[in-house]
This record gives sequence, structure tokens and C-alpha cells, in this order.
Amino acid sequence: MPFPLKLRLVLLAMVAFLGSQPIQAQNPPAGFEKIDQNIVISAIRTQMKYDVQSFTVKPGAKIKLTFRNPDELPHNLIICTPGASKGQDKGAELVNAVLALGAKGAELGWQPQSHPRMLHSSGMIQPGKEAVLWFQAPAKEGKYPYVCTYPGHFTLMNGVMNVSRRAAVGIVRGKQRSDPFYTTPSMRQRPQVKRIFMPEAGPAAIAVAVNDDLHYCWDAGECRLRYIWRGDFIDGWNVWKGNGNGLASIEGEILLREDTSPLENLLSQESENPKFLGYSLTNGLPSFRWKTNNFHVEETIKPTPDGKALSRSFDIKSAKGTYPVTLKFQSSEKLSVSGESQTLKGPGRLTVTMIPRHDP
Amino acid sequence: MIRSITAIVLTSCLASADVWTDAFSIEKISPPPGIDAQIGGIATTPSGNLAACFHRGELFIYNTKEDTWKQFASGLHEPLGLLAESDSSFLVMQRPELTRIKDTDGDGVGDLYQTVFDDFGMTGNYHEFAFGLAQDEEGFIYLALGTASNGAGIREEIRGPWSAIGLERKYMLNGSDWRKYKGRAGRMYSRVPYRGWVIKVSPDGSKWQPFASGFRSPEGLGFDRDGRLFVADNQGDWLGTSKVFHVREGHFYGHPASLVWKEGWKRDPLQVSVAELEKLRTPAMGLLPQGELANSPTEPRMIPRGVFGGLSEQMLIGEMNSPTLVRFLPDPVGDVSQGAAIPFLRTGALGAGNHRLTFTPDGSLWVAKTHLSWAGGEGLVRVRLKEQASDFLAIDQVKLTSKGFSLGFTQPVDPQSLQKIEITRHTYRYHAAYGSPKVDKQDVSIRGGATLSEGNRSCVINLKNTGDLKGGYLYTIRLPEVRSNAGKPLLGDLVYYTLHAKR
Repeated sequence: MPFPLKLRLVLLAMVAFLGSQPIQAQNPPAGFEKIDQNIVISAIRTQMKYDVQSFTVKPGAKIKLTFRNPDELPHNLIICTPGASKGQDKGAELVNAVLALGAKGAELGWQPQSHPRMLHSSGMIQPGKEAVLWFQAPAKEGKYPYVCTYPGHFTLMNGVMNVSRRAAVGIVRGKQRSDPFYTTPSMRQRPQVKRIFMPEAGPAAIAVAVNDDLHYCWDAGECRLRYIWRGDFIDGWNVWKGNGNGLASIEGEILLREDTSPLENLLSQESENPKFLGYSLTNGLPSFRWKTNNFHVEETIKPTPDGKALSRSFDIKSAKGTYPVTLKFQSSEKLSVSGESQTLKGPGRLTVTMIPRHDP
Repeated sequence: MIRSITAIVLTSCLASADVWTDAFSIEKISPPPGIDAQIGGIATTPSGNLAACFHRGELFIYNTKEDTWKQFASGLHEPLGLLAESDSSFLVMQRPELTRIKDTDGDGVGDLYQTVFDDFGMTGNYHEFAFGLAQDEEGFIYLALGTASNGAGIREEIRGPWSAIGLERKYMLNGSDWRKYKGRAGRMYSRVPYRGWVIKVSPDGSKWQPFASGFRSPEGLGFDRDGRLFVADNQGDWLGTSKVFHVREGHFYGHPASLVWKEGWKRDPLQVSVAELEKLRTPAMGLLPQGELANSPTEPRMIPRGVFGGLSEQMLIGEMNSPTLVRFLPDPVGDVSQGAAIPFLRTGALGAGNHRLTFTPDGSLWVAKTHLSWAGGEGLVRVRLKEQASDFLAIDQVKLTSKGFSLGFTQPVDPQSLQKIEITRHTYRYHAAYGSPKVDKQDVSIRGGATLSEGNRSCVINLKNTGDLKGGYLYTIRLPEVRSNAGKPLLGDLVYYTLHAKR
């Protein structure tokens, strides 16, 4: 039995086409003749998103949740328990469990059978179809993520069911994407480098998607990292829709703003500003190169093998400069760094790991 | 009934559409799927394929024989110029820098992005486009930097030094107060180097120089067969109409904002008198009349030798707003550059947005389109001369004479078809205001009829009063109903001659 017994669920996959009359949901199951809340969530056509970003219910409330799929791709909606991260992982654990199924995943409808965090599932809903879930909200307050577990959809297709005694019940609609290319393969490519006008950076900014979840902004004018964020990458529509009169927006939460270069000690002794030389790509990830009068520097930010943190390395070349050189790394309440101060006695490389902290 | 310049242009295009499509095939090429199809730059590779860079920073190679696209690079910031050094090395002019992209491991995809030149400023203003690219015989690269528009202010963080000449920096910032101050910024401004300049850069980027100044939005650059650097600029403040310049080292071409970056310059360009600017400036080689020929001229490119019959080695210039290209025939008098502009491919079949041009060895002209939210188009168009049209009739030479003009034709002309030639002249104001009406417009009378010589391939038009030939004027010569001896229509029956010096 994949679902906890104390919660009642009826899954009804309705055979109906959108645009016709409202779906005739089957009669409510026993005990649901009178419901507390009626929630309708729809996949947004061509945008790989749910139209409802979050909804709030009272503990124990009787809910009717309709999930519609007017998109051209199949989608599902699985509500998860908060888990160890208390919902901060947006349900990633469940999605990873689906990915771990490998080829078997398709047979199981991309549903991680008997996963402890799976609460309710719509099942895979084909284009133009819908499903109705009848359930009682959990008694325990918290953030219950919902996700589409179809491979590749999760980054954009996720939302949160807030179970709360105090908060007002209701739904929060996600912002409608204006960008018709937002979900194209060219925009979803990971990793990816995008030069575009970015907030909190100079005009020669470079945005880098390291993987699905971690991203950073590097400034080619100042030759330094500006900030790291977690979530989705960027929405560049404000820039791309016209002639460049706008900034891209960061689709996530900034983990660290680095207000000075780790090489500030070195730079303050140089008579000229650092000069950007460009970058090389290795498996899509850039290594930025720049020079000062006496040093030649290469900086690379890569994901750690588990993809959950960043490995940042500096290669400092040239024997002309004066060694030792001490690099100072910053951390924040949302990002820890493996070593705040590191010294090179001569030309060479040093690496630190930058790890997102989960909320306490 | 809608009455506007646009409507008139469209009507005349429709009326003459057959003329062009009878002679040229115009074919739309499907862009790569899932890509914003605005093309910022295009170039022919040594193997005869096309490289095209797109609005959101992708660079694709188009195999012209197999009709397939392959991605070579991505992530570029509004690229608006492209040169192919080889099939695996490209120079791209993107907003923040001139970049060389190379495939170093031979997998057909660029993996090295080298900054060749970025010693210029950026305020983050949208109108600070970086345009390109042209290359001279020695291999030097030429690029052009657009001025900023007071349609927006600047960002808090800028790149490069700030010029203190003009409105104080704190008032230049984007924000709700900008509306209060924008009037004092200058309609287009250049507060970081070298906005409004053409820059010459050595291929390795080790040497560069500010080459010429006085530009507003210098959208395209290209060399002609005689080594003249053509640069197109857009109607606006200080440009009564759009222009094509013959750009020479050290010259100033009329838009004053860029002067702040001239060595030793200390005054506010907004305070300099028109009379003084008039003395400083080198006038345009060609005035392109707004609403008639071009509202937003783009890239000048030479028709290669042996392509398009009698028009071989002539210059074409793109145009954004209306469905046409411009052909330009220089007619220098001594050291003064002037000449004639003639519509080319003025047909709805071409469409608008004609931004970048290139030819492939098979004789195809490729027109790449963009709009950036203004008037324009998107995608790629292939133009080929039809085999049966190789004897098309067009003007291949325009010369000023002491008494009027002489025109050369690609084919013998039917003497009976020259009856309706008309000439008018007008000029434009040189002032800070946006654009200019036609000024001092008058008809110019012709003495007798046009006379043919050289086997009916040359035509002399003498004016009744040679005093009507006057520097600073644009002469419009209308040649309706002109036909070849074989009955072919004249492709491009309007000549716009810019006169500065008399013969």
C-alpha cells in the first residue's frame, strides 16, 4: 500500500478533453460529501510549470484537488511529506528516487513506489486529461512540496502545500512566463554560460548555470565572482524581449554575495586593474582567465560529484609576482566555505568547497 | 484610407514587386528550431557555409548544401557582428567585447572564448550597441560603438572611465527621477569611451586605436573594392536623415556626443555651436532619404566579382524598416566622397529587417534579419539571380558632370523610354533636433532630353541651369518607364545623388 492509511485518497483519472464542459468528477467518496477546500492546479502549456505556486490548507481539512494537464507532454503531481529538510528540498529527494529507478522508471509511471515521503499521487496524466484527488490534509503543520517526477520537469514543476493553523487558506499563482523560449532545450541546457545584463553586477556580467540547482554570476568587467544562487537559473525576458533595456532576473535565492575578490590582497598591490582574457569551456563549464601586471589567474567553479555543492579553484600562474599569496574566501548564513583563508607559496592551484547550508 | 509615408512606400513596392522577383529568386530559410530567430551577425566560412549569431547568443553554422544547422557556440551578449577566420575560428562583436571563438579540440564546437578587445566603456544603457565587423586588407578589424540613448539613464555600476563633461553622474542614473533630468543629458550621449566612435583593432588585440568619431548609431561597416570604409548611420539627433559615410582616420562625422573622447577635448558638446561643428565635420558620402529609401541603414557589403552580372563589385547596404536594400555607387570628386544611392530588391518578397549581408561562392546573397523590438524582421533569406534574368537592366554608373549627370546602364536602353526623367533636389538641416524635414525642395529642369551614347548604354542629362548644381544637396532622379532594347524594365528606377563638390 503506497499511501498512509490514515489519509484517504481516491484517484480518479478522468477521460475528458480540455475546453469542453467542466469535468464531471465522480461522486465524492464517503466522508467527502462536504469538503473544506477545492483546489485546481493546472500545468501551464509549453512552460513546464504548475499554475499554482503554493496553496495553504488547515490541518485535517477535507480537500478536493483537481490536477489538469493541457500541455503537450505528460505530467504528474505528487505531494510529498516535508522530510528531513522540512520541505526546503522542494521534493528533490523523491525526484532523485525516481531517477534512481533508471529505465524501470517509465514502467512505474515515474512513481517511486512506497517511498516514505510520497503522500498522494495523481498518477501520470496524459495531455488533455485530468485527475481528482480527495484527501484529508495532514494533521501536522509544515511545508509539503508537490512535484512532477517526469524526468527533467522537476526544476520548474514544483510547488508547496502549506499546512498551517494560522495562515489564511488559499492559493498563490506562480508568475506566468512571458518568454516563449523559457523551456526550450537551448535555454534549459545545463551547464550553461549566458552573457546578459544581470542585477547586482557590472554591465559585462556572465551568468553560469552550473547544474539544475546552483548558479553564479561572474563579472568580466571586474574579473570576479559576484554572487551564487540556488533555484532555477535566470529569466532573461526583460532583456531579450526588446533592445536590451532591462535586466535578467534571478529565479532563486542568493546564497552568497562576494563583495571583494578573494585575491584582494594581491590586487591591491598591482598598479593596473585586472584584465579579462576570456574563458575556456570544459564539459560546458567555464574557466575564467584574467591577468594583472604580475599574475595570470584562472578561476573555475564546478559542481561537487554529488551536485549539491560547488568546488571553486584558482590557478595562479606566473613567477613574476611576489609570493606567498593569500586568498580570503567569504561565507554566509546560507553558504559555508571549506577554508576561509588559503595561501599559495608559489605558482599553483588551490581549491575550496562552497556548500549550501540548509535552513535550521 | 490610411495616408502615411509607410503606406506610400508599401504601395510602390507592391506595384513594382514583379520587376524584382522576375529577376531574383527570394527564398526563406528555416532557422534552427527553438531559437529566437533574430540574427545579429552573419559570415561566409572558407568552406562556403554560413555562420550566423543569434539574439540570445547562439552561433550556428548553416550547411548551405544540406540545409542543416549545427551549433558552434552560445552565451554571447547581443552579438551584432561576425567574421569567419576559418571554419573553426570566428570573431564576434558582442555587447561587452570583441571575442574570438575557437574550436581547439576539433569536435566542431567552440571551446575557447578569447577576449580580443574590450577597452571600451559600458554604462548599461540599452542603446550602447557594439556593431561590426569589417576587416581591411592588412587584417585589421573595424568595429563601431553606439552612443547611449536618453530613453534610459545609466546603471550604478559601469565599465570604464566616466567623462565628467556633462550632467552630473548622480542625475544620470536610471530610476524614477530620470524623466526629470533626461532633457539635460543630450538625446544621445557618450559618457564612457569610445561611444560614437569607429575603432581599429589588430587581429590579436594587442594594438588598437580610436579611428573616427561623430557617429550616433553606426549600425554597419564594410569595405568597398577601392578600400573605402563605408559606415551607415541612423536618422536621429544631428542626423536629418540616415547616411552612409566614407570613414577616414581622424575624421569627425557630425554627431557631437563622441567629441568628449577626442584627445584634448574639454567642452560640453551640447554647448558647441552648429557653425563650429559644421566646420569640424566631414559630410556624408550619401544621404539616404527617410521614408523613401532607408530609415535605418545597416551593413554595407560588396557584391563579389562575377556575381549579379553588371553589378559585380558594387556596394549593397541593408535597411531595417522597409523591404529593400540600397546599392551605392561612389563618385568621388577630388578628395570629396559623394555618390548615388539606388534601391535594390525593393520588393515585399524580401521583407524588412535586412540587417546583415553575405555572399557564398555559389553566387547567393544571404540577408539576415533582426528587429530588437523596432521595425524589422527575423530569420534568413537567400537571394539568387535567375538564369533567364542575366541580361537585367540596371544603372551601373552615376557620374556628376559640369552640366548635370551621366548614367551608365548594364544593357542598351530603348531611346524612346527616356521621356519621363525628372529631377528634384532638397537638403536637410544639421541640428540637435531629431531628424529633419526636407528643406529647400525644388524641381530641377533638364535641358532638352536625355541623350544616349556608347551603344545606348550611357545617358547624359544636362540641366537647364547649371547653377542648380549645388553642394550640400541631394538630387532625386526619377527614371520611370525606362526599358532595355530587349524590353526589360529598369531595376532601381530612382537615383539619389548626394552632391558636395562640383566637377
